[in-house]
Amino acid sequence: MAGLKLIRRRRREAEQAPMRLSAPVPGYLRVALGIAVALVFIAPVWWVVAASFKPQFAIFRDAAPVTAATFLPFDATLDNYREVFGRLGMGRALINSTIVAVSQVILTLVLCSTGAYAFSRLRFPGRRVLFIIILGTLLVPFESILIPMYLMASRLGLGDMLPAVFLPEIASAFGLFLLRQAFDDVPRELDDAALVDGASHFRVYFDVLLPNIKPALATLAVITFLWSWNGFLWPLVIIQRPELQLIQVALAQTVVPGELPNWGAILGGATIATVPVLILFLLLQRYIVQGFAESAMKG
Amino acid sequence: MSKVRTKARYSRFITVAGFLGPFLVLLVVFRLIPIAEVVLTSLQQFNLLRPDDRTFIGADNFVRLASDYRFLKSMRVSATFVIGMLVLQIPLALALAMALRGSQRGIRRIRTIVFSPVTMSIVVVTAIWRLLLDPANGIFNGVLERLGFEGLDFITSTSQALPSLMLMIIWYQIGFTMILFVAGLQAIPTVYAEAAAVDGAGPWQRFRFVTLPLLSRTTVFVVVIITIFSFQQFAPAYVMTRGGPSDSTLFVVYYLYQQAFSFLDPGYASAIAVVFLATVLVVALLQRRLLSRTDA
Repeated sequence: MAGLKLIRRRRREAEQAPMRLSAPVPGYLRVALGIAVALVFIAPVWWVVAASFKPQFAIFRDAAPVTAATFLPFDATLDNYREVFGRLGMGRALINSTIVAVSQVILTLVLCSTGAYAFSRLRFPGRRVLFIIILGTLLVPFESILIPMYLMASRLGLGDMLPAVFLPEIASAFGLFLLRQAFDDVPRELDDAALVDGASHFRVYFDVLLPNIKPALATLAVITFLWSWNGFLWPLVIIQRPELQLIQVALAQTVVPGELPNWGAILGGATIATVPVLILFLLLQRYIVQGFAESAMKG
Repeated sequence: MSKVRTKARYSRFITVAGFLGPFLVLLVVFRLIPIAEVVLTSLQQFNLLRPDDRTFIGADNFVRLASDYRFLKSMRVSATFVIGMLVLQIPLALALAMALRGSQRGIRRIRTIVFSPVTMSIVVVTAIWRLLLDPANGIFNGVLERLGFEGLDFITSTSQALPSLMLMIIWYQIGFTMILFVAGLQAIPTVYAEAAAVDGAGPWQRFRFVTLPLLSRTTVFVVVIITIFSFQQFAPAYVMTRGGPSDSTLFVVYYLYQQAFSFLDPGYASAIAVVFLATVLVVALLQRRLLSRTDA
């Protein structure tokens, strides 16, 4: 009787339980491995933040051999941040980077959404060819046109001005493509109804379609902010005046190859250059991970 | 009648120009013209500080490239870096993706952590790793000593500098590669693996003969992305090594930058840029070819 019950239960379990196909690794080992993997990616960042609050002698003392003290800021001090914001003027660089990133996000959203509207909703000759040309520019890496870009910006009198950093980036082919797809997914009945009621194309764009593609706009905004904030080669080339320097370039100047590094400046600078994006990432990771995957697939 | 039509056409033009005009103007000025111009400047000789005083010299810059041992060295460095990235990063990323492909909360959280360096800037990552890799006071040697090994020279050694940068970039990018593989894995219906399991296939056989072939589209895509990303490296050389020691980390893009902005020879740098662009385009076209084949 009991045996029969057991067989029945086994059969029921076999029918109900989804087949387990993962590699036969015991649970505790998987957890340990997971934690080890996470530590590899957390530990260096954790060390940077902790060590940025230490005086130099304590950074060296705690680094080798590695102990718990390596990752805990005993002897905490703000000296590194005093240097970073004082002598190295990174406060100014943070403000410059914020101005550039915010301008770039706003202008990218405006230009890409209006352009995407034209491709999604307006009929005009050469539309298809134009779209293919725009997508084609995605294949051209920025590094290969660095020199003519520099010559163009100088020719236009943009050299050594903050707009020179973001103006060349705001006509983003990736952004146009992303938003065009979002517009295409909005049913046309919505704007047809508005057009019949006598609304202008601008009304349809602004009042009817934009509210319907908010997730795509958010994705583009977050990705653009990250690209702008993290950009290095172009600002390095186009901005020379120290008071206009962006945070990444200012941080790069604290590392002088061939010389002994200024540990406090690097640690403090890396922390203030990263904290804004890490906060953004933790708040909006949904848009970021998805957006990065999409941008790669399309790029 | 025709007047009305002309008027309608005119107002339609105004609408299209209003919506698309600003985007197009900037695209032409900052993308299309520079793409055409880089071909032109690669055939010229001029000083970066006097860009209006140019001499047309035909293919001389390209002839010079062919016998410039530093350029050839930079192509070798970049090629070595690309191959290292492909051989090391892809299997690691795939292993991570296999282990972390589930949708449980803990696993998703670990995925987020592995991905988080991707959102940092390459300058921040390089600056941090400059300290981690410091031969005298770096954490890496701290760990090695703790384990009873002798410390390594890392970026101060010609043989260890490039591998050190590879390790750094893998740490930086692997979360991104992993996410691509996870997306690819989640798109494969589980019925195939289940069918294979019923037929008695073990975990390794299921991976080798079921998962891997079904994942080939993603894999080809990852190969191309990593190739292009790795070929574009610049900041690690600029920030950490200045291409050294003895040009052992002289990436092509860093050499291009050096020619244009340190040696003020933008014509020659443009020739490097054209070779670089041609290589990237060939890889991108190869991608299309391979991807369309794996569709069959």
